Amino acid sequence: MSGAPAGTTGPGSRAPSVSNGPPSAGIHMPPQQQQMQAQSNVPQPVANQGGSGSQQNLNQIVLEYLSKKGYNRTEAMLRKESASQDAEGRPNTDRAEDMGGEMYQRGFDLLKNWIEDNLDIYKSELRRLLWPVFVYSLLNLASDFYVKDCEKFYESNQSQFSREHELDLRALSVIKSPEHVHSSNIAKLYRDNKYRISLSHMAFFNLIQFLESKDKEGGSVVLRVLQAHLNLVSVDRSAVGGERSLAALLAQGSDVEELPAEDEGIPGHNPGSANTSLNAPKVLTKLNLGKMPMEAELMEDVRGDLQDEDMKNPPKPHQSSLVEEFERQIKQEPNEDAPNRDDIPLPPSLARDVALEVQKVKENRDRFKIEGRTGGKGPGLSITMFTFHNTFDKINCIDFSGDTLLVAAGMAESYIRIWTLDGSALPVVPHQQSSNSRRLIGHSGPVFQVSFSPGIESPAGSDGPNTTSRFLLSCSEDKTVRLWSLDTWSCLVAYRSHTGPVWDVKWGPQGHYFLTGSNDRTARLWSTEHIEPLRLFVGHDSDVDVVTFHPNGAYVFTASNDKTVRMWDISRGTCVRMYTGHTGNITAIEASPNGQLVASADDMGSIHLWDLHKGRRLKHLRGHGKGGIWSLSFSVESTVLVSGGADCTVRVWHVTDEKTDPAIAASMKSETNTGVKPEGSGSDSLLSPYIPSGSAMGGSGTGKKGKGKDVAVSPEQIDCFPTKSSPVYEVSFTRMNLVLAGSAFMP
Amino acid sequence: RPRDARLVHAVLAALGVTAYADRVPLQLMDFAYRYTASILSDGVQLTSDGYTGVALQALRLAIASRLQYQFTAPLAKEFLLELAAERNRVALPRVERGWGVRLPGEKYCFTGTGWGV
Repeated sequence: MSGAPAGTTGPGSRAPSVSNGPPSAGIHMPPQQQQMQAQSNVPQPVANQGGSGSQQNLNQIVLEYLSKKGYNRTEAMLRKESASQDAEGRPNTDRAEDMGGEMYQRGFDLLKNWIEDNLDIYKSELRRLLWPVFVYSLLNLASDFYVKDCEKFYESNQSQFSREHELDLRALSVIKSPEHVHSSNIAKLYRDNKYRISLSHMAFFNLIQFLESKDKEGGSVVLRVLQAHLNLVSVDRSAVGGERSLAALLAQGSDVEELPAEDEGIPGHNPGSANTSLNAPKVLTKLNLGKMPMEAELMEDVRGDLQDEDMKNPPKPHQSSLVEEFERQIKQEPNEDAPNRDDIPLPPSLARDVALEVQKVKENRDRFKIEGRTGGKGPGLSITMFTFHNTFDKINCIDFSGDTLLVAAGMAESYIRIWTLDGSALPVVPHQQSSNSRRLIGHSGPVFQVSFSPGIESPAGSDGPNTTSRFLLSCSEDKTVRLWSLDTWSCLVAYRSHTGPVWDVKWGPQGHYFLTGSNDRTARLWSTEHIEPLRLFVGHDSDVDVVTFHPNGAYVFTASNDKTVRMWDISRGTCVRMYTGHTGNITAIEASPNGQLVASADDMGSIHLWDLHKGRRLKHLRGHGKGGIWSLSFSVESTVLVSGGADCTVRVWHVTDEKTDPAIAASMKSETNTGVKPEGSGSDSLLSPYIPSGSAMGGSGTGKKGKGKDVAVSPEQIDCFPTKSSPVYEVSFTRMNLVLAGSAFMP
Repeated sequence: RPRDARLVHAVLAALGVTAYADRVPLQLMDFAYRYTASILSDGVQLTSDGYTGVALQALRLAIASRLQYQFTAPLAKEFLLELAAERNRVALPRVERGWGVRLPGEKYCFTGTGWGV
């Protein structure tokens, strides 16, 4: 500033002296002129020292001279007015805001260091602050034209977020200037919405106190970011729920992978609630999760048939009779929880439905019962794995029919091929040879999902109505959904309404409605009788990847690439639940048969179990490798979950309610320490010379560390069945608790 | 390796994509060739002044002519929400008693006979 030019001209030439009279002229003289005057009046000492001394000595020299000469007021003035400069003559920046682009780095470092030095119980919730502060600081830097600082800030801080926010980081890495901020989707998303984080009271007060006390060192910068862009909710610790309670935090190990809280993020919402406005009430919509009540006539007919059945084949001593089984099932449902039958119109029941129900009761009674933990070992589950060879990676999806007779595979070459699982010949169609497989040609784009209509194996040698699947639904990239008849082996209807590739189609449990999810961000509910969709489920911000029905048929679930799972009411079309917390794209979703849980899996290898009534996450199961978990299935009792994924494994998990969890967790810990391998995992081997060669996987490989990676496997995993190199496309529990799995061999 | 294949690998690496199946660069090249070839051939046909070469205006027309059905962006969420509100207001239709296969009206199905007339 003023020191510099005076200093440079000092030694060489005389600065033009300002002849304004003697130096003791008033205080109003600017220090610059004073300095130059003083300089020109003190030639010798300045000239000697000017060469070696630099700007910083100048002030000292002048001050000494002034004090020597006795110009006290001048000296005081000089001191005062040069207090805002440091020795170099540059402005003294003791406030962070004056540092320009660096202030955000200072603020961020301040926050980070404080959090790391903080108490452990506050650390996990305070760490969640770092990501939004990072994003908003970056966006502010970019929009304020600090390009270099922006790059530096990104480089130095991005590594700590790469595990959880990899995709977002990549999108943010290109944002460096105001134009980028205006045109980037993620920048717009973050800037237009407030990021919600909840902190317990103590942590919140601590944070604010700290930031205010360190106001100058960057605290004010962070505070400004928090005020402008974050929605900090201060909650009572006990209300936050199980994961944040003190007991849980103290019990947690230090390297547990941290997940975002369920109400964090954009849009923040009360956990489980679908209402994303800022003043959303904390009450969740009431759900009717009970079984759909049967029609009275149907019940009578079924009871009658069951009695006949009992008389024909009386139950063995250890079995209950079919009628008892049926009565027990009916008694289990509390009435208030059942959905209203008038809200969801269903076709009146026919003889086929009676036969179906009778068969269901029979299979339920004769099933392989999985009840709780069987003495320290897992249940002896049977998994029959069907591997498709010579597929050339063209198989997109696999589905098994309800009577376990047929398997359908949708191909990338736009056709569907159906095989019989036991190699027997399919019913003859004119002009075609007898064979065990048939092609269904009609789509004009790769087929992404096939789904058999609900059916069950017909009782052997009966003359009653056929209860096997009659229809197949398939959806493809050509935006249509096609209904195929399995009697005529031809396409019956093409349902057109979606404006983008349809990723998933599923039948409802009663076989009348079906649901599709598509790239156009909507899910649509159809009935086979109507060519137009009946319901439109709009709400996702990205394409709807997977859909499924709730077992009572009154609710549906959709999941999307925006990392949320939503639950919709069919009769009204409204979203009743929204679950956030996934960190990767969701690739599979399944509702439990008891109607209380839904499980969703993503491509980072984690499976989340959500409670429907309370709207919270129950469990987080880790162990699968990255690449996507393609299929989930619950056992009949809803206590065992099986999953198959792109890491070529089928894994079996234990799912219990929270009440019994601590006890079981304790016993499970001791069990895995002694390395007990569950036995009795027998399996059937089915060898056939045709394409679907069933190679049975019966090995039991308990993996404590999943393949030596740094991801620890959850203790809920009972078994892991690896295949050689066949990603598993479909796993499904039959009603008898046998697991069918389908995979395609990729050499 | 051909230059185009190397280019596609380089583009994927620059975007940070490191794990992809072997046929992905081939699929991308396929698509790139198909798209540019069809646009250019359309452009050649649409050029009115001079029958060889492609005019800039013709190119623009060729690209615009495909925007209706290709690379359509998803509709705006507010618009979709309005549509959904309207559609979801209608109660689910009652189901009449029927036997056999439940299908929409005959004109919407493929159940007709091809008379080959």
